[in-house]
Amino acid sequence: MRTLAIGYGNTLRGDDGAGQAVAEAIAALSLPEVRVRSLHQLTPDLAADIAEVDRVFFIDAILWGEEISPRVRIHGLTPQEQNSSLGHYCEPRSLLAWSELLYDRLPSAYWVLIPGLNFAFGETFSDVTQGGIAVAIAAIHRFCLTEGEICPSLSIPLNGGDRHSHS
Amino acid sequence: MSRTIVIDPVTRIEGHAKISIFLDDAGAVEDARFHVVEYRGFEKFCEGRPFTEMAGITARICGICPVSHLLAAAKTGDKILAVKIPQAADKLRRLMNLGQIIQSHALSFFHLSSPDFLLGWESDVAKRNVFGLMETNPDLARGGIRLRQFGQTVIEKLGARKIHAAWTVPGGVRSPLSEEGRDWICSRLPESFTTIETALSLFKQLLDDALKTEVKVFGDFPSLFMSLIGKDGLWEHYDGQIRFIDSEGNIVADGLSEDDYQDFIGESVEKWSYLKFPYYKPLGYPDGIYRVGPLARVNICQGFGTPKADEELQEFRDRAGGVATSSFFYHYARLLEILACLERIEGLMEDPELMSSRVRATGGVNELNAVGVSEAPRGTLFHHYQVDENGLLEKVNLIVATGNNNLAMNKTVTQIAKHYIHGAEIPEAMLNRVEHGIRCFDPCLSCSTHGAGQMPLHLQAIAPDGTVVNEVWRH
Repeated sequence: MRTLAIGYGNTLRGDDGAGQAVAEAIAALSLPEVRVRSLHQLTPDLAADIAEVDRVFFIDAILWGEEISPRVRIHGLTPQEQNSSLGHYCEPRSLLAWSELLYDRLPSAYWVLIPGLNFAFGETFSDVTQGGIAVAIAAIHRFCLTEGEICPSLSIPLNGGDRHSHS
Repeated sequence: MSRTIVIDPVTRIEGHAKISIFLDDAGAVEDARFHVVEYRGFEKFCEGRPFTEMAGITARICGICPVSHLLAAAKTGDKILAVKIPQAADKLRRLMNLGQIIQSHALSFFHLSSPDFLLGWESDVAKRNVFGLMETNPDLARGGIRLRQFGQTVIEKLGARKIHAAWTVPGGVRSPLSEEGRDWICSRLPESFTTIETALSLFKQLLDDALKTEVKVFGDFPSLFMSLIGKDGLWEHYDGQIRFIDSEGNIVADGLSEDDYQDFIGESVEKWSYLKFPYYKPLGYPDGIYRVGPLARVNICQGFGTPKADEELQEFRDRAGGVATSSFFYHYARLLEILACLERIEGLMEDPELMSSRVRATGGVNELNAVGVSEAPRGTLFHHYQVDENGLLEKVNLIVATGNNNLAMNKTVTQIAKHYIHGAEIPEAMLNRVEHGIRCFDPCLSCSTHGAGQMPLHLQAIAPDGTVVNEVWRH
């Protein structure tokens, strides 16, 4: 199964760089049929890359409330036209819609969201994000070795607690 | 009662900004302001860091035009080392910048701006976007994606990463172009030429018909223009000297060095925006308004030095009647520049020096004060560093392309608003035209944090006492 893992975020904005950190770790694993992109932000030309694979992971950081037990969330994604927010920045669902509209190709897609607490200038990760990166790498590694569909909604705690899945 | 209309934030530009339109008692537009409401602080953030890190740090200001900062930072670093970089490195840096201009201009034209004029200002707002363009003209949309992908991959073939390639360094570059990279670039050139020629043909048809009004009212005013200029007056994007011309094409200042930028560029500030207001110092503020970027480069150069682009340049000037003073022609100039970049890349592919292993000069800290300049897709970019004996940065000043155009963007918005807006009731298509005035410049205000959901368009009519008398949100 051809897989594309896209990690994105600003590596100068603390925890925002989590997506790229995960992508680079996945690339270092040199998994068969897995291509990796490590990017500052999503851009339209990725639609052409997405159209060439069977499965795509979008790996990003998400602002997390400190009062909530931190988890890595993995959601199935469906294409959606985002009309008014199209700046230089693209959104994963838009890229899927572009792939479908222009290339008639819609791979299965997942959004891997890593909890982030600190998005100020800096190149270090908070402890929570550090833990989230490790969990995300392990999860994506496992999924890359799986041929079939992945549970469309997973919530994986960082402390080794119970994993939740929602259908 | 005078009122203020606020469009907040502007969509389809980089970063965060808003537009305020000030109405007089009769409901006519008195003035308009383009505000940048995001504070970046990169100049302070860099102090204390080694100058050798500047390419890597400043490239992360933005994911769209990082190469511009890489080049300006590396060129400033060259001066601190006081070295002459190898010729191969000069050519390789140029190649990367050509790829950068192509990808950035392709994004601006095909994805951000063309839906407005290809689908129509009055068309359904729900469809007046790149998705509408895909449905109406999928071949053009695919071509735009492939063209941007081409530019991005040129960068990747050189720097191993599409964005924030830490490949350009003080003294040169880290590695040459591989044979595989050269072959890939050559294989994609024919398709890229076809796409840009199709886009040019389409845009010129629109200029002859549907876009005549836009050319007249989208920021058509006299101003100075500034850009780098190469040998024999040829279009330049990486090195050369700085030239200013006026709207009649007269050379106002020539042969200027970036080292002396503080002699000819002043930097003013306004309390309502975080974006600086640079101006041509001899004329003072704000009379020293100038424009940079594709329109300025195309207006200033005597030619591109490549056959297809020079033929198009002649037609461009015939259409503009000499110097193009309409900001709407930024779109046209972008297409010309993409064509010129493709031709220059084609020429470079025949140069075996691109694969030379002699790509980097080394040295220590030999100068404590240095200024580097390059042409970013959006215009002239200055980096100014002061370092201590150990190469640690004591002071950093950046004049970015979008800042150079700040006065012109405000003037453009005002002109459009005065033409289209009469009274507090503002149809969506009119708002979109005002926004498009900003998109002509393709400003890059840089997003360094994530957008949270969709960016709405927020319009407020505010009485002098602060009362909101009208309010519209567009999602």
